[in-house]
Amino acid sequence: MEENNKLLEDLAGQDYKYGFVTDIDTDTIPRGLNERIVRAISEKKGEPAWMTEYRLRAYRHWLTMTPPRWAHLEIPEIDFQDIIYYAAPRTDPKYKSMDEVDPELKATFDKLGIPLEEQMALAGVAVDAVMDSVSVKTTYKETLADLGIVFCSMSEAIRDYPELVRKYLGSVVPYTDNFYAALNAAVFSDGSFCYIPKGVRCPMELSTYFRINAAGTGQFERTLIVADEGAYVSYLEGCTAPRRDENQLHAAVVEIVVLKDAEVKYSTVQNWYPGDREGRGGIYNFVTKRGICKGDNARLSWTQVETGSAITWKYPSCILAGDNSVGEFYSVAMTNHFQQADTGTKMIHIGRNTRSRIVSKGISAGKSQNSYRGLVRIAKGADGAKNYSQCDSLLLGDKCGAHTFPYLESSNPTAVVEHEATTSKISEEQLYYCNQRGLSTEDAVALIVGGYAREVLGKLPMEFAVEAQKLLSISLEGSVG
Amino acid sequence: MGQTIEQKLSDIYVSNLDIIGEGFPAAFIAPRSGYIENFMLLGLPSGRDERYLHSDVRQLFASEERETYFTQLSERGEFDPLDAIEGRRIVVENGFCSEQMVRTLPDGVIFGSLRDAATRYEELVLRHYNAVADNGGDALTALNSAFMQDGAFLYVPSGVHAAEKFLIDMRFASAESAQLCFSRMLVVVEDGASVEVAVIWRTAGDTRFLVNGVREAIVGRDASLTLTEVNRMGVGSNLVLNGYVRQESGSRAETTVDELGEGFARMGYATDLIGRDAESKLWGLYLAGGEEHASIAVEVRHQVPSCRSYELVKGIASGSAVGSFSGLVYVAPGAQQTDAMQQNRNLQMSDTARIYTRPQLEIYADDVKCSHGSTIGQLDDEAVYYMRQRGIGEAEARRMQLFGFVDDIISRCGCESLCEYVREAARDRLETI
Repeated sequence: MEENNKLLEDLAGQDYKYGFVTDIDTDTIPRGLNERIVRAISEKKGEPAWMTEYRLRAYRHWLTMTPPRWAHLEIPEIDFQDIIYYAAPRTDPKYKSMDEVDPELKATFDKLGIPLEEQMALAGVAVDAVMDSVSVKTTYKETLADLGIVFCSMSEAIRDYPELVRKYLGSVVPYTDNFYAALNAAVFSDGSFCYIPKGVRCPMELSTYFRINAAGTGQFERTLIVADEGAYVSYLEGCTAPRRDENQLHAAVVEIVVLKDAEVKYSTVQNWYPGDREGRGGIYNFVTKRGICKGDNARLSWTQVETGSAITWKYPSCILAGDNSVGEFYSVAMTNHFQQADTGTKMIHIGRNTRSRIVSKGISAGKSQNSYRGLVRIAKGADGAKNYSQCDSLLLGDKCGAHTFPYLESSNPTAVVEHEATTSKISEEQLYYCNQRGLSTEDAVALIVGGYAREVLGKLPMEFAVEAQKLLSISLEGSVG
Repeated sequence: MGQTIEQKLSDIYVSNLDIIGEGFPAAFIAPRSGYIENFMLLGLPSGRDERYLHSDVRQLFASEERETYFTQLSERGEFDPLDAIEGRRIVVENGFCSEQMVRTLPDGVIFGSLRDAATRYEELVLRHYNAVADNGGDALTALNSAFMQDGAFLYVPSGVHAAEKFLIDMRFASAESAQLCFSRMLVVVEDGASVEVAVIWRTAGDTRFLVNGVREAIVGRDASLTLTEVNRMGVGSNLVLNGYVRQESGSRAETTVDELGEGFARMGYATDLIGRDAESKLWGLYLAGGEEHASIAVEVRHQVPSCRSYELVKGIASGSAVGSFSGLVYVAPGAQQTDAMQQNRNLQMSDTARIYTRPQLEIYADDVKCSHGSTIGQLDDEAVYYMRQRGIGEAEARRMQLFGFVDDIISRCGCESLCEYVREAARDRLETI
């Protein structure tokens, strides 16, 4: 036991590996938020009038709202006037080749282990790298363009595909949805836009790396993915952020529209700066992610591996409107030290024979608090709807908390809703068994947790699964005992 | 803007202070103004309140003007005497114990009117009364503590295994069209003692009752309490009950709830396990049809290590009824070796019925075994088919299956004569819903 404790202490000493700051000139606007700032953001981005109007409407609505307080989180008071709402890398963001990219920025990506060239060559992953708020580089665009796939920054989309953006932006997450969604709609800096045309199967995993860089800058990403009839796309989002002592707010919105017979897989590995061992600093990750299966037989799958952020408030959801549509949510949420996470999903069954599956694996260590919060709602017309939820929690250490708050609501007599949850720790017997076979306690824990999370990790695309496994063991380190 | 409902109730309280406190020693009157203040501060919960989610109690209080009961009247309605159920009984009518004197039985058990007990055993009652009720956090409990005029008191002294079973007949009958009543119970089972109690809630006549009930139970070291609660209130009558149990080390408490009322019922059960090796079990059933609302809310708080808690709640919702379950298992920091299991099974029988279920875990200790499960579904068509193949008509096959589903809970209540009574009631209800 003593040995375990020592191991725990050693490992708990592990610092955040990705904590560094890149010095790039950033083009910022004054701190604070008012209509002038909202107009300034829109103007800086050269947006059309309808977009400016949309932002202003969102801003005015935001003024009438208050931050949500219902989550099992302790959120320090946030001064929304003390945030810089826009920061873009000073360098002109359009490059023809990698050579033109700011060398320091390139080095940042290298440190992060995201060698763009390598990914372009090997993995066949098109990367729309978002440094702070403006899209810096988009690769593989041409290949995608041949298939009619649009994959670009949100700013470009607003300029080049205004009719698509106007049609779908805010259609799944309206700015009236919640406090942070309203804020995002008012001040979103940039993000990714993806449109897969009718019947097209996207040949590669689309991926965007989000980074928070300039200190004291809120990051307000906006992502919109539209899969037209019969289309398929697998979209990956991953993040690592440099360490900062000051808390940084991140309020992103992701909207996904899945039309008839289409399928979207959205995978996230989130490893933002969680704060130090004493709970100082770290990212506040207040994200609204929602997709709608609009047409019949549509499928939407969310997979997330959450290991970072000081506070996570995130519920990737599916509105299953089309008949026979399917929603899935696979999640591993790991919290350590003083991290807090309140995450889960909503499955709203509206169409007939809609099915959903929720697999959530929470791992709490240190003095962290980890909550699953999920809603399954079967609407009146959702004949034959089926849901299965499984929410497991693993506790490592006696100072942390693991909570489960499922809400199941059914208004249809043909629906079947099942929910199961367990909470446990790694037993002495399991560790002893591994130790006997020559595995160190640390390896044993990693092995057991790996097995525990496998059902979710297995849902990630290959490249991500590797990164996720790595992240999980890094985050796990320091929690054995 | 007119007066708020809270303000109205507070005014009624203030203008009837002397009647409400009548017959109580000063120590029972002094704290009441604090309770009414708490009530005003907290306000009546709406259906959006996390604790009363989907059970809009505020709406109940607002929906019609009700007379508030202040005097003990003998307006006995037509009630089945419940002769078939064994056990020593008291009748509590409209919140008042019909026998004004509390009795001390040969084995030292004290049973009867809470008001009388407060005078005759002032020190004993004071020690336990409002010791576990959440007057600071629950508006309805605070309201009850302010308005309480009488109720039932049961005290089992240390080491006594009560020779007989006890039945508290919570009756409501009135000539008014709508009536607000407060009902209170205090059960104390001292160290090493044991007792079985049944509480039956029922109404007669057409009066639309709104009953605000609070029960406190204190179960001492190695003591045991078996409680069966049956709600048989009639059409249009509503019951909002908050039951609190505090269990010391090595104690056992087993509660069976059969919610068969024909109005709105929100039955809350909060248990605090404050001594090691305590065990709490709760079996619940609700049957809801028509426009009824049935809600069972369970909260078990494991404050110390090595306690166990089990809950199984089953429900059937038909017609346009709402069936709701909410269950929270809380494990405090350091409450290691906790074993907690919670199950909720619901059958949804009609297009317009709604079922809400919220099984929750809040855990701050690692060496625990906690699980919960919750399902919403229908009768098993294959089982019905199986029975039909064997010559049983479809309606009968369904009835048998439903009855099997509910009897699992009914049969858990300690006493056979009581089970039989509940079974009959459940059969009747199954026919109508």
